[in-house]
Amino acid sequence: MEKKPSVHQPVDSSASPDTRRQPEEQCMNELPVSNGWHEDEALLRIARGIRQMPDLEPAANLLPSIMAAVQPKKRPWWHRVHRWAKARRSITFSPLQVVPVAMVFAIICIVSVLYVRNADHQRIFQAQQPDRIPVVFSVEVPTARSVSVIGSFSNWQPHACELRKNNGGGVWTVKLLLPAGRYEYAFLVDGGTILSSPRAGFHQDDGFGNQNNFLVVGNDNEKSI
Amino acid sequence: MEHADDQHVIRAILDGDVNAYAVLVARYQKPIYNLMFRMSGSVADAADLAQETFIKAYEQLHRFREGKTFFPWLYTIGLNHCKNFLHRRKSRQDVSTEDCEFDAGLDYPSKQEERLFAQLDFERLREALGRLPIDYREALVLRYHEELALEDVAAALEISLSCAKMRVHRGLRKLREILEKTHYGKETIGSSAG
Repeated sequence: MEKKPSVHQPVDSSASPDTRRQPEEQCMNELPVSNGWHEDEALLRIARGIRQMPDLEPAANLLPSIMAAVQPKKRPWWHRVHRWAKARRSITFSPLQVVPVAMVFAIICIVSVLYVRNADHQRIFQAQQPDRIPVVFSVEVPTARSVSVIGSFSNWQPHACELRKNNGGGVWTVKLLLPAGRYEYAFLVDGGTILSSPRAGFHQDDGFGNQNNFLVVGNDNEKSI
Repeated sequence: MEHADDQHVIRAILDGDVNAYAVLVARYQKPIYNLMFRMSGSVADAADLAQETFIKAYEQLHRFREGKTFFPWLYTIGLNHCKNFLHRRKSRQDVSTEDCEFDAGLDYPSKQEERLFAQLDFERLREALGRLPIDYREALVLRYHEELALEDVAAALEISLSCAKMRVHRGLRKLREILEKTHYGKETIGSSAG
């Protein structure tokens, strides 16, 4: 225990109260000050008396007897884990050792950024088109090299909406987000052949000898053509 | 290690250096022993209780929170241990010191200090302290004799800071009343003040 330096000042009854209190200020700040300096002086003297009261010296064999009784003890596992976790350590490494770790870290960062950006893009796209309805176009043309869907929703642009071929099959599909309405459409195979879907329920003559399909997109369900 | 602070010593003990505990024992055996003596009134019981307190503290040292002050923590263990002892013994808590042997091993202050405080009768003061309730007495001893900060007094007695201030304040007044009743205050304190 680090004791504060004792302040042993003679009590001078002729000194002013402020002067008398000064040496004891640190320890006596909780003493009353409003009941007159006579009482303060008495309490100060008692406090000094307590401070100067002699101690009993413990027996010389107290320390050896305690040390003989205490034995090295295995601490609880959680305490050892806690101390191990709290202990500071220094780690040394060479730049060459850092390169693989840095590369893995960089790859993880890039993939994370791309994933987050893609997710954000999709979320933003959907947020910007809240009234669009997803419609899946599919047609089975196993021999085709390319298939796109053309229709009134894309002003009959030939390559605006290209379909993708499913792995291992001849089915081509694309998913579009369309506003509610009535649309005519057809499939353009290999950039030249107009094909109407045989599975579509509604057909309409385009005035040039071809049959267009048409569909009505509503707010009820996703349409699969 | 002897001059290392408590936290450093405790870390060494917890790392397996059992001998480092001797530093703490040497540092605090006197106040703990005197606490036990004030509580039990017996030199033999005080030695036993002090020993048990230090052993108990060693066993519980892993529970000591790093950053806290060690002595109030040790004092709390000692105080509770002694209270349990007294409870078992069903002894009076007010301890008379008339039967104590102050001749052996007393650490009296220097002659200069002795002259300065010649008017203070330590025997009577000790006796008056013994008549105080334990809570007040220990608050005064910790505050003025062990010179602990009020925060540490509160920690040692397991009370709030405001309660510790109140204990010290009231304890001092109660002690003065006791001293006055035994004419101690009137003859020494009163005359010197007036």
